[in-house]
Amino acid sequence: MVWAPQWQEMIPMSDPLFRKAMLDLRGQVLGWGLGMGAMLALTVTLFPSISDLYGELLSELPDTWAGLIGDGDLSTLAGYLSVEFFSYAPIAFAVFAILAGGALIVGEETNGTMDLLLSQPVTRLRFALVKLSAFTVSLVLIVGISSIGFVIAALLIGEASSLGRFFNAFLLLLPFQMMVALAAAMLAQLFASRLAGGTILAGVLVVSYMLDALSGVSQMLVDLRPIYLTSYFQGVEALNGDVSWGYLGVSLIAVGVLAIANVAFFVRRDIAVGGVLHLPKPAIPWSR
Amino acid sequence: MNVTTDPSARVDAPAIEFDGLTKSYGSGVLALDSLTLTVPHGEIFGFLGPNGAGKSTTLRLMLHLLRPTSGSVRIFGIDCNDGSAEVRARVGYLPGDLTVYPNMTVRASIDLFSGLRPGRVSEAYVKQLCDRLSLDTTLRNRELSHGNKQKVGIVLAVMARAELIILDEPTNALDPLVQREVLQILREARDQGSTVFFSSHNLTEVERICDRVGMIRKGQLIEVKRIEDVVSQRLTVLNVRFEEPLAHDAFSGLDGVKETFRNDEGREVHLEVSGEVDAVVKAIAQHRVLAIESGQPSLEEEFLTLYEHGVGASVAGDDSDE
Repeated sequence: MVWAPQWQEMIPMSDPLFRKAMLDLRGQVLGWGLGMGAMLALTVTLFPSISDLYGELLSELPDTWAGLIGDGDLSTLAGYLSVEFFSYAPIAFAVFAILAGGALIVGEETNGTMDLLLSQPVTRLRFALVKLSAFTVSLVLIVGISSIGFVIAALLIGEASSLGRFFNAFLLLLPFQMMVALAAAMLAQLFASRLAGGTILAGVLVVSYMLDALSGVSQMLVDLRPIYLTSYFQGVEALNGDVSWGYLGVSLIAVGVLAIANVAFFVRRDIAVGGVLHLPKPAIPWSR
Repeated sequence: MNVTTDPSARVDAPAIEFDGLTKSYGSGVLALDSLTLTVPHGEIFGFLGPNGAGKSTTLRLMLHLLRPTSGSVRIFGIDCNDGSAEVRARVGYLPGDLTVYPNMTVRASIDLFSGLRPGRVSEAYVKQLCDRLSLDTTLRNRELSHGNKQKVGIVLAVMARAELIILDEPTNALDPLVQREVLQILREARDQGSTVFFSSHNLTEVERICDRVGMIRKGQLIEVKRIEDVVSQRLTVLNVRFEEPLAHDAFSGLDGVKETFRNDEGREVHLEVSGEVDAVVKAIAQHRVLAIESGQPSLEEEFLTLYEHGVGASVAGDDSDE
């Protein structure tokens, strides 16, 4: 007997696994999308009343303090958002990426449902690709819903002239968050623990964020930027029109490599017995 | 999904062929040691062993959830490692550690798994199964008792009328009436041409349904027997209290009877009887009996008995070709 998939199975929306994965993520998509969208809308609507005040405040700060805040021109919406939204947005979105990414493949095992699922005529490759597809669509929806909040607020305050640059900044959230999520998924598989993978990645991200922020006051920290994870989010640069294609290229390559590594490792390893929080046989021992 | 005939698969292949299947974990634990066994089509095969014997490991290797350290397992002539999706298209499986999506209703769970086998699941058969097992499909899985969750797993395993049904301790947590119904469903599946391979640590359950039984202990298959042979050799434990002390050789002349100890100067006697109990009951009846208790030894005791009798040396007596 041979397995002969029909054309319907090639279309993700007709795949029951894909629909199930999207249903599982719908709460997070709505929560994160609407939450970030509302925060963004509030930030944008405050811009007209607060920008002048910020400009005056910054002009009175010493250079080192001003460097910590960033080099955006707060009199423009782009500069204002680079400080007031895009400075923390990659970290905020990364919380979703780490949580959802950590559960991307290992989640079904820790929930104890993997045995039943993989006892069906479902290849591991199909399972992994469906999960990756559902996560990608969810991430696009979250960023999309968030950006709708921005567009509405920008129209309300009459700042709709340069939406293209903002669109690019939002778009650049995608490769960065994909990279974070796939790294979380890989660590969760290697350590056989969602918690371990998420903790390590969150730690790296927070340290990167702090060092990146401090690099405004130290040339040595500027030179170390290639090793900061946050450097690979180029949204602020997109707002200012000077995206570093090197950083963007590296993040896109990392997404590809991590996606392949996740699938390859999953296809070749044992499936953990269900119902345990920590999988029994990590590739890298995390705890006794 | 289409399942079509693969010309490379052997038409005459047995339902299951284990060939030196071995699984060890990184820490040096040998979970399964060189399992070699053949199960023909249309048989109900019981895989019997105490907890931790390697039963679930064997079943998970069949589903390619685990990768063998060495050896192979072929289902319908297809190597499980080479074509696992092809194999699973023809297999229904009940995991031992069953979890079904807690937020889904039973109905939605059935629909999800039916959707993964399009055209293979008959709604009428699903309804019949749910009715026979008294399963309320409107409830969410998280609202179900352990027994009802097990019923969901059984429905999911058998609803596609798969050619091979693999079940890991299927009657766990079920009350006796439902257990009987489940065993009947499996008999019917066998009668309709399916092969059933299930693990259990309950010899009585295996006796009620299986054609053959394989006994596994500490990862090693120690014996494969026809169920009639198991029944005929099965141990019965008798505790008998007599009014008067018995002579030391009261039961010594009886075949298959072993006196393990006696108390109260020989008034209380503990006997293990292998096979038929007719002769020993007649011998007991020659004395005045105050009380008698009978029971079955635990599976572990049965295994120890098998070892004592030296039958665990090999599985050369595997009569799968019969």
